[in-house]
Amino acid sequence: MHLKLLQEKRRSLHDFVEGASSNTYLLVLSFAPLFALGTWKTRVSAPMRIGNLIVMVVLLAGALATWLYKRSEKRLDRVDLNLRDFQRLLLQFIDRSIAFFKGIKFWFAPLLFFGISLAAYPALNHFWSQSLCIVALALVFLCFECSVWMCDLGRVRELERRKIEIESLLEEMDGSK
Amino acid sequence: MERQDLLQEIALAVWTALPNFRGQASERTWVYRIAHNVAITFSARQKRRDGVEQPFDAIAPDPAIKDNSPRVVLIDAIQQLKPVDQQLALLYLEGLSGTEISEVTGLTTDNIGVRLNRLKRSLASGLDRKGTADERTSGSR
Repeated sequence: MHLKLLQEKRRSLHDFVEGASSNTYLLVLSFAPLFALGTWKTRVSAPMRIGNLIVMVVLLAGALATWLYKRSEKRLDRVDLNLRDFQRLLLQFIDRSIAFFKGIKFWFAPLLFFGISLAAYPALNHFWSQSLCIVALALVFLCFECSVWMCDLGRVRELERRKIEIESLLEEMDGSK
Repeated sequence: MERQDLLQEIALAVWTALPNFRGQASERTWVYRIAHNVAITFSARQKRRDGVEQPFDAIAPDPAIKDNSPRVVLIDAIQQLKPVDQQLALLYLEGLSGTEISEVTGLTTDNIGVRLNRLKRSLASGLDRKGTADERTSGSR
């Protein structure tokens, strides 16, 4: 009976926490329609239109990819599995995370920046020359991309290290070590 | 402090895993599974943070106990083992049966039997060697 009571309390707390994290997706999805509106309103200017469209698509794709990634992370709640099964689950999650950071996330930032640059370029061109605009945008892009890449590189290295540790543990359990 | 952190993480993990408990194992085995999974993850994280292998803090000896008491000597010996063997030794010392240890670790009962026999021999010879070394040291004083 006590266990049932605890389970009920636990469920309501979990729902509350889940609600808080879904706000992130709502925030992202709120901006996507704004850029969609920008795409429609800037019919006269092709670069602005294409830029807005790219940003909208990238935001939606990013939200979807993050949602899928979070879903796989939720499976790590199964900490009540036996040791071997839990380590295997961790290993699967780590492989997916590495693929996420090396693949999807790597392309997310440059595409987003490209779209914003394209949308902002005509406005910047009013104040600066064409070459100055391109140089400025390229520099900002390089700085932004480098910082994102370095953060993700650190994260990927940590994941790969953890993967080696878990594989070692599983080998030890299988008796091959 | 680390002991408290680990205890807190285990308590939180038990709390989080409650909806998944369907009575497929005894509560005791279920809690042991969670505790061991959390402890291994905790130990790995500490190792990455501090750059050294951390023993399970739960078995860190109480400073009030003398250094050469049998309990401390045994804990020392267990801490030298590999992580899986440490877990087996601790579960065995907690009084879990072979079947229960199998439910916690996912190893087969045969595998557990073989490993435990090997562990007992290895710990016994290690403790014998330490006992001989201590006798020599106390004799030379």
